[in-house]
Amino acid sequence: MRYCGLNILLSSFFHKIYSRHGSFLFCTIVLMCLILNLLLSQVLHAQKAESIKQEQDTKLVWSAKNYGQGEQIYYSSFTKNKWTTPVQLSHSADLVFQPASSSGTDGKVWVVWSRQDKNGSFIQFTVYSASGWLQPRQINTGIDNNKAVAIIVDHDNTPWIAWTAIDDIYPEIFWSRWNGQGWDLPVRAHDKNKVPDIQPALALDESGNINLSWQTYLDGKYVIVSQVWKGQQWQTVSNESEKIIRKKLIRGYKGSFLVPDFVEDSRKASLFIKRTDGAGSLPLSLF
Amino acid sequence: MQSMKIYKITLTICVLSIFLGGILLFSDVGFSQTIIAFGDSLTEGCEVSILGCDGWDDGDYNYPVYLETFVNANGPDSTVKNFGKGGETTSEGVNRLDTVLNSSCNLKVDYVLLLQGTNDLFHHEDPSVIRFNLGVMIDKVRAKGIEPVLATITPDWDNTWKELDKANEYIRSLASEKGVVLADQYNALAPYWYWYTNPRGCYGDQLHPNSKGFYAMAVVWFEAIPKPPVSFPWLMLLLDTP
Repeated sequence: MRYCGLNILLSSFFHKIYSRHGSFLFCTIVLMCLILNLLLSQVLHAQKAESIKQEQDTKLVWSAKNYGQGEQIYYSSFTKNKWTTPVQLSHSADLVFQPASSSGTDGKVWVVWSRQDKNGSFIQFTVYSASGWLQPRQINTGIDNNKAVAIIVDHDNTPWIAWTAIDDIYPEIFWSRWNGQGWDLPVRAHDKNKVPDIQPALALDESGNINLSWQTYLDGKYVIVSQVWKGQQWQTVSNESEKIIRKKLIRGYKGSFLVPDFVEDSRKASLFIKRTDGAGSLPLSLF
Repeated sequence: MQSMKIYKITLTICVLSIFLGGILLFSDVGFSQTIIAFGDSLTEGCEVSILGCDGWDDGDYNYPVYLETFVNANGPDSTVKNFGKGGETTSEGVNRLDTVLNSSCNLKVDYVLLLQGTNDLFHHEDPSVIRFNLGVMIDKVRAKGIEPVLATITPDWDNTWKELDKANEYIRSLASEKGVVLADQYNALAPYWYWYTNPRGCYGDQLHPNSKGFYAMAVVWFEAIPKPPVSFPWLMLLLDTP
């Protein structure tokens, strides 16, 4: 089963690390500025063995505040046993956050994120192809407050996105996919309701079907809703074991496959990522 | 004649003493409260350990520890249980609150203090979700026959992009709408937040206060928590007058 779009929210973890071992002034400053919203894509998850293997290069996107440039979106991939030099994908004077990425077999890497200005929050995207990175573009959703965007590229190399937007009072889940020329008009993923629907996540199952999961308020608590795209429509997933697996995909889930390990070097911030299957940790120089 | 005067004065003092003693005995001068402090790391505080019936053990410093000393001044058996969980969002809090309220440890509770939302904002959650979830928590607490006390979210100078003002507006309107006592932590603490985060507290940031800041939070809570009815308010005023 292939999972993509796994986000790891690290910053709250990091400030604890620093508060307890904090003698690295530079790193502390950098980390305070970082919103380490990391995304891992292309992770293989063998369902039975619960082991993780890399299928292709691991893609990582995150938002970070660089000196004099405000907070921007960065990208790096784990290629030939090392992280590539981070590429700055956004050049926005506005707040950009919550990046996510996915790639297929055609060599393209799709990256999406939210940009917020005084008029609201909007989704931007870029794609890497043979000609390099596309200038970031905004997805016209026609809805306010677009956030928490997730992305997955299916086996036909078609990217799908899901995100929260406020059409009424509370966030609702919308989805769209690339039609070759642009993004289809957003479609609500559920019946209209009067409760928050939050934290969408996308994945592919072993059959190549798109899975969309999110959290909604139901009968006094938040529950995970999961549905799969079959026969040109969404079908609710009722299998409990599948739901448990999809729970891991929900943004902010604590049992992520990759966890921050440690940071060292007072002059250069390096993020170490440790795989939970014990594969060790490797440095990623942020700046 | 002189001895008669002394006798009358002594008698008056004795009668007054018995009268006042009776008032003190039968009024609510001494009372105890059990309070649950529910929230995230701003409640959990620093260096806590072992989650038992009393919530987290005291640890180095957190507002429940200070608040307990304040309420204990009114009643020696008062307790403030720390049920703060670092990093928790309001949607996670909605699910955890049931466990806390249904715990056999918490059969008799007077107040539940609700302070959450800063992690939602950190994750760019819309303030409307915070409002919704805090409303759910209020209803859950009241369903148990317990009175909730709501707080606005404390400042965060590390992440000034947070939609803090909007979220706190929502929280104030929620408190008003549901008739819940509000501890406006933000308004009380914001002018002094620099001093409450410098020197840095155990989290090393400007979101979590140092010991002075947690103490100030406890003061705001204490002032907001309703005091039990007193049989003779004039007497309390008299006794409280310095």
